[in-house]
This record gives sequence, structure tokens and C-alpha cells, in this order.
Amino acid sequence: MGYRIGIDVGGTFTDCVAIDANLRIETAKVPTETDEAEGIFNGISLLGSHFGHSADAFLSQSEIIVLGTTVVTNTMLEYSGSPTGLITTKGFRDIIELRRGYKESMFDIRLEAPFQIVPRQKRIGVSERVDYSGRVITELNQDEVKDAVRRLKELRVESIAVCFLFSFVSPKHEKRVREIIKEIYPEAYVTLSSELLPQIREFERVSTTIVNAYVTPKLSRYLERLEAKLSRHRFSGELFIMQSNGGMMGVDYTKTRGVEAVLSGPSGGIVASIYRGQQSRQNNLITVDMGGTSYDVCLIQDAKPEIGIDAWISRYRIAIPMIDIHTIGAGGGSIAWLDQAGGLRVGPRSAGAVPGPACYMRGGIEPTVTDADLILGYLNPDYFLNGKMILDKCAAERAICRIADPLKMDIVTAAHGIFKIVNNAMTNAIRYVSISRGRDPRDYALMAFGGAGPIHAGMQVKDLGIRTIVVPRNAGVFSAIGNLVSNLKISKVHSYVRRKDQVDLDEVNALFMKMMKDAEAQLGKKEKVKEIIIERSMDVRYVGQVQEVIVPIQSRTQRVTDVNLANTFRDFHQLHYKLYAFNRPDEPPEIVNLRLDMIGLCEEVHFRSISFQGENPEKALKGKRQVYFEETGFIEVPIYDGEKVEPGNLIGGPAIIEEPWTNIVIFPKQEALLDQYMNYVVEVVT
Amino acid sequence: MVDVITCEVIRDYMETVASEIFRTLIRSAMSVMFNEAHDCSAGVFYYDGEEVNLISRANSMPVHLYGCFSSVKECLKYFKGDLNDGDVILVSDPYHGGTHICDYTMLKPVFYQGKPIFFPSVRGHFLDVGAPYPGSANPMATEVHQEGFRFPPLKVYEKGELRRDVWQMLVANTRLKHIYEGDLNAMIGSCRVGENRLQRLVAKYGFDIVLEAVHYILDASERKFRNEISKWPDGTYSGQSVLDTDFHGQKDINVNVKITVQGDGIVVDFSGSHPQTQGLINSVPGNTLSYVFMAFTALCPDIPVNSGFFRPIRTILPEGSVVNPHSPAPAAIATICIGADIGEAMMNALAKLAPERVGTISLDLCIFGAWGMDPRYQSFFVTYDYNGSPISTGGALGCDGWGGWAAPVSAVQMESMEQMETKYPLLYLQGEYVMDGAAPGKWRGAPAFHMQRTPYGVASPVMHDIWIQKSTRYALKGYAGGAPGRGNYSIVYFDSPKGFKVDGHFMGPLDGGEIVFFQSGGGGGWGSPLERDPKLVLQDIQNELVSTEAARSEYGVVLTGDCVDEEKTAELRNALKNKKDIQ
Repeated sequence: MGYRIGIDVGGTFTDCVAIDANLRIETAKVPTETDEAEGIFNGISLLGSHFGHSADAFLSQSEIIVLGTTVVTNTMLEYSGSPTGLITTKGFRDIIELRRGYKESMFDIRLEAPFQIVPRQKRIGVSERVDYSGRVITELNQDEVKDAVRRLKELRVESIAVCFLFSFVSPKHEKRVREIIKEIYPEAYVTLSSELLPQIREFERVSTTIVNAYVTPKLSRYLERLEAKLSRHRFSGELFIMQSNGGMMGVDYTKTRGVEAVLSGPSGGIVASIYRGQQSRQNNLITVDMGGTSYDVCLIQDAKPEIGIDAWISRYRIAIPMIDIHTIGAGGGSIAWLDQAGGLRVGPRSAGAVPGPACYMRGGIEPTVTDADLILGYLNPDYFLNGKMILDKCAAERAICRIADPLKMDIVTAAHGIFKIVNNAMTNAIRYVSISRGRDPRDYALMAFGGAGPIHAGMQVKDLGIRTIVVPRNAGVFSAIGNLVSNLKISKVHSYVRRKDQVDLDEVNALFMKMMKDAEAQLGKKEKVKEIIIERSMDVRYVGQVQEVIVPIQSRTQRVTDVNLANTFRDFHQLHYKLYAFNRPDEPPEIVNLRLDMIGLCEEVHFRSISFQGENPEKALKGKRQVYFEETGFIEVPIYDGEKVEPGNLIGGPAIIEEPWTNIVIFPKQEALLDQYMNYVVEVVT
Repeated sequence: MVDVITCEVIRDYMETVASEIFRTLIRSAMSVMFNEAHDCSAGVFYYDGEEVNLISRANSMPVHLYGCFSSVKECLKYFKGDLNDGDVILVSDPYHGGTHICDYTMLKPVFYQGKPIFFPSVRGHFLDVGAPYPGSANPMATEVHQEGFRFPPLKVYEKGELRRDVWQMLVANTRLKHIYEGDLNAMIGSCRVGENRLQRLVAKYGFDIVLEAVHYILDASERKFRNEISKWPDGTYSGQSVLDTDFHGQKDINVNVKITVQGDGIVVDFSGSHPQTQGLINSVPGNTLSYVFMAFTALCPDIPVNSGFFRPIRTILPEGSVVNPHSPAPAAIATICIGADIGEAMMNALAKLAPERVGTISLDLCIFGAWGMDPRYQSFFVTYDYNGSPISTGGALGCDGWGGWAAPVSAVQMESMEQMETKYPLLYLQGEYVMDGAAPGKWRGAPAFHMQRTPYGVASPVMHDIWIQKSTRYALKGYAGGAPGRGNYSIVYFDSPKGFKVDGHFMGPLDGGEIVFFQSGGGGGWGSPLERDPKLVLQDIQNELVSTEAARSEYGVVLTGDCVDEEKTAELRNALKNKKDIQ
């Protein structure tokens, strides 16, 4: 077995990790370059050198590379995708602007319209119509299609989305449009809604389809560039891309389905959390990732992430199944400010990496969470970002003065105010994914990562009554590790709208079979796959309801039987009760969608465990510092060098552990243990 | 003294409590009005034994904002000195606070130091509250008694015990016992969630600190709003809006308002508004004040909404008028018909003192019912379709109207047309914006929308009931020189010799293939269209939203080829401006 490489490209750093046959792990962190492929290659070179190889030698011995990329997210955030056109049913081209009435703010009558990634002139209706059952009411007018394609070509679109009403029942008009595009404009990228997301609800489908059309060409070109570069440097293994559903897929798949890589970046962090959680016997987790601008929260139940189908990214609705990550604008760079009445607020505006917090000395003058953390002693001015950056405490103090003076407070009180307010917002975000979905946060461990996560986690557990925090070591390359251990996963959906008494099992099984065949074909080469798991489920609701519940089908054969189906409906009533605190067992349910997940389990990656050393952490003690806690004010606390802490060491709070890429604040009445898998497990003394 | 940071944390917590109560409600309620239309709300109130204050509320239909407040006030007035731990109070009568009879308000006292201090509260639209027809929509009503069973404040629970007799009486007055009971239980459960969360807050900070923070929160909103007001020039500003009809023979029902700014206070005076009418469009004070506050909150979207915000505003609501009718005037649809006009009159007046902040906050919904047999399911169906009336957004400074309903009323999600066709025997033939449909302005309104629909695959005709139409004669207003919206109308038997435009009310059968057509006209423009950036006009032309003719006649923009002819545009704009000045 050769090397396996996990790479996570973030906004600032590209994180790399590799493991060899002897379970030796090496990591590398390099700056992200404008051309992501460049930074990736730099990271790989550095990794290779850790193993004593040249880049080429290292790559030639590498078996797989799994990449998490932010290209798709950034394309959407910057609206820098390809010029895109839409061909749709005549009379219905504005569905994307109407958005079923949704607006992001209910107060602001001056909220601007979302940027149109496909402006109206590039949305062209053609005569055609299919009814709910797939019967053609109006034949496709091929002359109109030809005119539309010519017009879009004239308008210089690069990518064409095709989305007709009810194409999920009968895709033949969409398929014919693709043939016509191939004749007239063969260079254009084509996305058919009936292939991407054959699912009822025209707004959700058209939005997902145009996003795919908009982001895919750019992503695809980037991946081709990367592949070429890697193969020039003698890589002959396989390249996989992390997907929004928490799995990975071969690079060729992603070249046509960019939209499914929209959460490619954060996905790795979630997979890594599950993996590390399992090692420390924590299958129920709330993960919190606090970076410079945002705080991402995700709930993991029984070692599986919550999957949602109702996401919006950069004001566009994306209806594919994605890891359900709740994001708020709170991070190290979040700016503290005073509102009109003199109230102290924090975020969502962030100083980002440039100019960054005031203490970075890159021109930032506004007070941020990081400035507050520095003043309170949680950060070490002389050791930040693996010692590569010096923080200026005076600059932080000057920045905090901007709010402390008008509030007539001293600097420390104001800094602690910022700390409390941002913690409160983050605690509310955790409540959002747990309590308000009927789950008790005390049943979960908090997995904290990201540069600022482990500084603040100790406060959140206090507010929520959570008893355990897990902070993975190597948190600096955490997502990359997730990429390394992930499995292949493809999620398929097909609408099948039938009331319970109208369900035809043969139809159901035929659709599942088709989804399975498609998934199998798209899974690609399966040499790495040890075992294939298929999970089927249905979206079910009561007749008349608008929202569905996803209900797993318990079936061990390829066919869904009458009994399986009956049990699924029974489970629906129960699940509905669990989610919504009521059900109506006497009322008929109906199916809306069938879903199939195909998971290709890959060879497991084992990390070596390290046996416990003594309890005493004194070898890692590197000094003492004044640190502020609410209960005590400033007190002197021990500071530990994380790299020297050994498994089995117990560190009682208050204390601070300085890891290369993060600091872990152990609050009073908390105690940290580094376990044999290099996870800090912080227990709260209650 | 409690520090401002703790106050800020407690304020944030109170907002979270309100939204958690709300989320519990929509998750656990049974009727579509709650869990899908989100026609409900939640809030946390503070009571000092005399005065009631709203501390926080959830983001939901704003018409409930003051409706809920006034209902809670009435309940506490009635039960003053008679509140116990474990009580749960309910009210539905619109003449005891509130807006219309189908909105129920529930509240539960949370006691500290032996006194009822906090009240988590929920409010929502019940599907059937009695009255002659299922769904409690009675266009014939001439008094509130015909709109549903009136419940003045009553206790559903007393000292933790369910009052079985009261429960039985409530449930006896609905046709949908199962859903009704489910919704009541969801409301009680939600109030309990709020109670629990408030108790945790007090346990953490202590009662005195929480109370001090509450006062800080209220005072801060008051201070912020007074700050704003004092920047506005002193004076009296008047506004008006006219409702087409009361659906009972009375046409042209005017709402007049005079807003007087003096220092850091405001008086809103509705003297001169139309006397109450026989039809179901009369707005009780809770409804009227909801729109008054909606207007001010839209002007100042950054100020946290609580009672402190309301303090600087004094209102004069003439008795016996459409904005403060005597009982038992009917009020069932005043939340839209007249409510929208109250909002429009307010904005019309506010445009004169803060033009840069105003825009459409109202919804000119038309209600299209249809029912018949669906052969696919061999069952009877009834549907109300919002897709025929999806637009009310207008332009505002710096921002063209876009999407569907105006932001403050955008809580409702419209059903997808594919879903509608799957559920009901209907076929949509069109659903899109139209050329020259947007109200011209420096910032234009959202374009008008055309929808065509026909019964499909039916064996017998489908009854169509078009019974509330708004903006058929008086469209949504423009602001600061912007043109009004294009107005709403509907045509039945569209595109056939039998076709006609509906005047007021239509009920009749449409067979398969017979078409009903709707125009939803959108909100008004903001600012003079002659000041619109010609580049934006050109963009609208390219996007087939403005014709070259309208570009000339309405915007004064002349094209040469595909470009704006700047010289000719300047000339034409001058000429049009002079013409307008002469007029």
C-alpha cells in the first residue's frame, strides 16, 4: 500500500496530511495560492520531504488523494461563475426570481434583490408541457429550442441549464434539448434538471440546476489543471473530491456536478469529528468549528451527521442532500461595535484575514474577538499560528478602547464583555441545532476545532450543561484528516408522488433499481471499495402537508416488499411524533420522493494509538501567565506546550494548552486528559 | 447596577426564548395555518402589576405584533389580582384586543416572589372557529357574531388544573375538533417551553438582575427610537389610502392619517377616516396599531422591537370609524382589506418626513378559492391559491422591488405549482412577470405577474370563488414621486367569448380547459422615473421587463441601437419634466 493523502484547501491555508503503510502520519500547512493547484502542489512537496522524498517520488508512490475544495463555495460567494443560460417551459421563466416568496429579512424593505446568476434575458421559455403523470400536453417545439440555443450562444453563455416542469416524471424533452445543444453549440456545458435532481418542486429544482450550471465549468477546469499537474509529477493514483453529503466521489463525477461539492471544504471536518469521536467513544457529538469569520455547528447522532435538504448558499436554494451545518457570523475576526443606543454588539461583520484583528498589525483598528482573547490572556502574543506571528497587545488595547471609553469601562471589562457576548451567540447556535429540534445538548459531547473553537468551548459547555469537550490534536489539519478517512458516497433522489393506497411496489422497485444502477455506474472504479452499503429512504407526509419527513426503509434485500413498505409507513408516524410532537395515525400518508444512498466503504485507515504515560504533565509546562476568568479575575495559570503533552497527562483547570494552531482554555473546574488517540478530553466537574 | 453586557446577553436570550416558543409552536401545531402558513407568532411579556410590556417577539407575521400585545393587555386587565401559578389564559374576541376572531392568543404567568411577572405568549390563526361556513370565512357577515364564537379572556387552566368545562365549551364551537384541540395543546406546550426557559434565565442571573435588564432593554429601544424621531423635522404630515369596497355595497373607504412630529414624540391621528361599514373590513385597534408599528419598524429596522419602541407614539383612533369600530362590527378580513390601507396611509404620510426610508409594507392579497371533485383520488377538494396573487413588493431607495410579497409580510411560503397540480386537478398555463408590469420609479416596483390556470382531467366543473379582490381600482401606492403599482384584476373564461373581468365577487363553475386569469400588480415605484439611471432602464429592456416605448414615455430614455442615447435622453427627460411641472 502506498501513501494516502488528504488535502483541505481553506481560505488562508492549505492543510495536507499523509499516511504510509506503517501508519506513519505527516502533516503540512502551506498558504493557499490564488491558483489552488499551486498551493496543493506546494503542500504535497512539503509532505513528501517529511517522508524523505522528492515531490515526484512521493506522488509516484501515492495511491489516492482526497481533496476538499472551497472553489464552489467561493464561486457562489463571489458570483464568479460562468455565463449561464436557462431553457425552461414557456411562461415560467421567473420562478427563480419569485423564490416562492422567500426573503432573507422580514424587516428590511430595502433589502436588495439577490444577484441574478442567470439574468432574465438569458432565461428562455420554449413551448412544451408535460402533466403530473408524464403525459405530454404540448410537444416540444424544436424550432424554438434551436432559436433559444442560438440566442444563448450569441449572448456568449458557456453553460446551459435545462429545467422543464415535471421533467422528473418524463425527462425526454430535456434530453432532446441536450441533443439540440450538442448539434448547435457543442462546447457548452449542459445540466439537465431531470438528471441532477429529478425531484418535484420547480423552484428548488431550477435553482439547484442553474447553480450547478454556473459553478461547474470553473470547477471542472480547475480540476483538470490540477490533474494535469499531478500527472506531470508522476501521480498515477486516483483523485477524489469531498462532497457535501459527507462522502467523497471520483474527480470525473465532480466535473459534471459542481453543486454537490459546495460543502466540500467543511465536509472533511465533520467526517474527522465522527472518526475522532468514535475513537474516544463519543458517537453523539455537537461539532463547533470557529474560524476567523464564522462559527459552524453540526449535530452528529450515532456517528452520523444530520443531513438536510433545505440549504441556501449565497442566496440560492440548493436542494441536494447536504450535511446540515448551521452557520452564524461569529469568529475570531468578528468586530465589536456599539449600536445607536450604546449597546455592545459583536459581529456579524468580520475583519477577516486582511486587515484582520487589530493585534495582527495589518492595519485593522476595530476591536475583534481575537483582540479580546489576547487581552484576557487566552492567547500568547509571542506564540501564535505555530509561532509564525507576533501579536501586538497594545494595538489590541487601543482597539478595545474604542468601545471601552464610550461605555465608561476599563479595557479588561470591555474585553470580557466581547468574550461573553460572542459566547452567548455561539451558545444560542448550539441551542438551535439541539434544543429547538427536540434534543438535549447534555446528551452530546462538544467537539471543538478551528483556530478559535477550543478557546471558547469551555464557556459554551458551562452555559449548556454539557459535560465533555473533545479537542482533537492536529486540529490544525483536522479537515484534511477527515478527507483521508472518508468513504465514497453518492445520494440519489427521484420523485414518486403517490398516496399510500396508490403505491405500486413494482414501480417503486423499478425506480430504486434505476437509482442503484446509476449510482453504481457513477461510483466509478471500485478497487478501493471493500464493501458497498445501500440505504434507501422515502420522503413521506400526510396528505395536505407541505413538508416531508425522510423515513429510512428497513430492508435487507434489493426489493422493497409489502412488509417493508408497511413498516416504513408505521415508522413515519413514529418519526413524525418524535420530530413534531404529534402524529395522525388514522390519516393516510403519501410518498413524495424516493432516496437512495450508496456508500462504498474504503479500506479503513487506522491511526496508531499511543499508550498512556504518567498523569503528570510537568514536562510540558512552559511557563505561567496572567489569565482572566470571570470568577477569579486575573490569576496566574500554568501554560502547557501542547506538543509536549503526552497521552495520559491530566491537566486541571485553570490552565492553557498551546497547540501549534489553537489554544485550549481549560476553565476552572474543568480537567483535560490527552487520550491514546491524541484527543484532549475535557471533563467538566459538576 | 447591572452592567450593559449582561443586559445585552439577557436581551439576546429573551429574543431566543421568543423564537424557541415560536419554533415549538410551528413544529407541534396541527393546522396548516400554523405549521405551513406560519400565520402565528410568539412573544415574552413583562407585567409590573399595572403596565404590560412586550420584551421580545419572534420573527413572524407582523400583523400579530400589536395584536398579541393588545390581547395580552386585555387579559391582564380582566384577571388583575386573580392570577395564580399554573393558570393558562385564552382570548379570541377581537373586541378584547387582537385583530380578527380566528386569531387566538394564549398566555401563561410565570411567578417570582409571589407575583406574576413574565408572560410567555403565543398567538395564531385557527382554522375553524364556528360561524356559518367551514373555515369561518363568512363574506356575508354584518356583525362579529356571525364570524365565529367570541371568547373574551378566560382561564383554560387554573392553578395547574385543566378546566374541563371550559375546554368542552371551546371544542364544542369548532367543526374541526381534532385539529383545534391539537393546536390548543401546541399553544399550551409552547407557553410551557417559554416558562421553562425564563425560569432558567432567572436561576442563572437572579431575579433582580433580570428585571433590571428588562428595563434596560425597553429603555434602550425607546431611546433609540426617540433619537430617530428627533432627527425628523417637527410638523404634521398627512397621508391617505382608499380601499375599493367593503364587499357589502360600500365603495371607496378612505383611511386618513395625520402624523405629528414634535421633538422626540409622535402623534398618529386617524381622524377623518371612513365611518365603520357593514362589511367585514373593520379594523379593531389591535389591528390598526399593528400596521402603525409595522410602518415605524420598517423605517427603523435596526431597533429591537419591544414596548419601549412604542412608548414615543401616541395614537388617536376615532370611535366608530373603520380604524376603531364599535362592537359588533364584522372584522374578519381587516388584516388585509383596510389593514393594507392603514399601512399605505402611514407610509404615504411618512414619505413626507423621511422619504429615504419608506416603501411598500402591505399585501394586497386576492383570495381565489376553488373546489370540486378530483377523479384521481375520488375525493372532494378545496384549495386557496396564493400563486395568483404573489406580488406586492415596491421599490425603495437604492433597491428595485423584487420577488413576491413585501418583506414585512413575506413569512408565507407559496406552494409550488408542480405540487398544486399533483394535489389538485389543475393545470397552470402561465406564471411569470410581464413586460411593462413594474411600477415606474427611480427604483421601480416588482413587476406585475400573470397567472393562468385551468381545471384539468376533471369529470365535472370546478367551482371558482373569487371573493376578495383588493387593488382593483386603487393600486398599491408609489413613493417620493414613484408611480403606483399596476393593480390587480381577474378574468374568468379567459380567452373565450364568454370571458369577462370580475367585478368584486365571482362564484361559478369552470370546466376543464376553461381558463381563469389573474394579474398581481405589484407595489409602487420610489422616486421619479425620470431620475432612474438609464443603464438600469436599458438593463430592464434587455431583460424584457420594460419596452422601448415605455422607456421613452415613462422613463424618458431613448435608445440608439442597443445603447442609451444620452443626449436625446436628457432632452426628452427635460421635456417630460416640464410637462409634468405644468400639470
